[in-house]
Amino acid sequence: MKRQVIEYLPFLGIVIVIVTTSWLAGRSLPQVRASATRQGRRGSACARRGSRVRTPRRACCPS
Amino acid sequence: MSQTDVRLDGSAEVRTEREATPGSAGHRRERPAAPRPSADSYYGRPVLNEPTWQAADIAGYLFLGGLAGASSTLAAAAELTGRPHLARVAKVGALGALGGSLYALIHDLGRPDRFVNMLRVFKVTSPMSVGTWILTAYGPQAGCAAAADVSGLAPRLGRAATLGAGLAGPAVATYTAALICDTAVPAWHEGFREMPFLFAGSATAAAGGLGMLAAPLAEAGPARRAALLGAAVECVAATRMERRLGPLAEPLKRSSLLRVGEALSLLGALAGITAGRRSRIAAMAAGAALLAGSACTRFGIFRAGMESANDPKYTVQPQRRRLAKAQAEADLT
Repeated sequence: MKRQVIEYLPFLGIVIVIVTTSWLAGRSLPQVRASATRQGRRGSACARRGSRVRTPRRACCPS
Repeated sequence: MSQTDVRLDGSAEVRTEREATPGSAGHRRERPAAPRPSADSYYGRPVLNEPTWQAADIAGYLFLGGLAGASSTLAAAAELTGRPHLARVAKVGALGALGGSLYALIHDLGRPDRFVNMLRVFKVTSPMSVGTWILTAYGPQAGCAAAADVSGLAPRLGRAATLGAGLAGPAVATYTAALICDTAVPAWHEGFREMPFLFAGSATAAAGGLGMLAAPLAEAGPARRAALLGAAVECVAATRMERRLGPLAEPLKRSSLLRVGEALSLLGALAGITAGRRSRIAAMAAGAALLAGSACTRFGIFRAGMESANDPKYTVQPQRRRLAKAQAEADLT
């Protein structure tokens, strides 16, 4: 039993390394908020509302 | 008087053996019949030699190759739809999984030279040869995509590599199914119709799980949907395969790893699409469950195949059914 567990340790190690590096890679970019991301994909929310005061896109959609 | 002089007909003359009356020596006792060996094989011994593959190498290779291919396709989709976090997570995950699968493959081969030697030929009818070339074409693109994304260098080259790896991803995720179905192992060989779909679903669920686990909630929508689709395809393909194979599916039905894998995949996908939309912890738990479910499915398929190779009835009975069917068709014509 102990030998079987040892045989699977390299596989487990590889999976843990993959998950950890992916998680760190996802954290290396600036964080986004859910609403900001949705607005960013659909265009500026204030522009869609027809606001007279045109907010710059970068300020409206920080992502 | 010797014993041979006694005759039932009372004549005392000596007869040669050729002229002896059958049954004149009285009724023979029925001898107990010797136990007949099983008709399935030579005294119950396996017909096939069990493959020398180690579970941690080959089943791990199946899982990691599927994760790499499906992650690349997910990365391409995330890149095209403007989700940079998910794209980076999937690209880095694909590169890591590719490295892990190559390690497992070369560890099983014994020497790296053997992998290089497989590149000396290209044989369309050999899944191993085609798979080697698919890996060779896919690997540099996956590496270039991840390196360009992380370093920020050569964005156009990185985008092209991402799309190329995304196109090659489905082939990387499913060629392993053709690879194992091309062996003589009964449970794999007879399951050739559903196995690619099962592997595609399992790989998609694993890639979705990795995306849910590592990408922010705001961008993990495609990963959640991919996980749900993959888990559904995996379960439907496994069920269809078990029904179609009939008695040959016994090792698959007995496999607790397959049952655990299906349960984890379904639970992870459902948890991801419900609680995983709002809670980071729930998304991570669902992603981990999906990854574990996909790994359990691959190890379960591997072990069921080994069990079917070791039992001669799974080798002989399908052959006899095929012969009987061919004979019946020949009689009709």
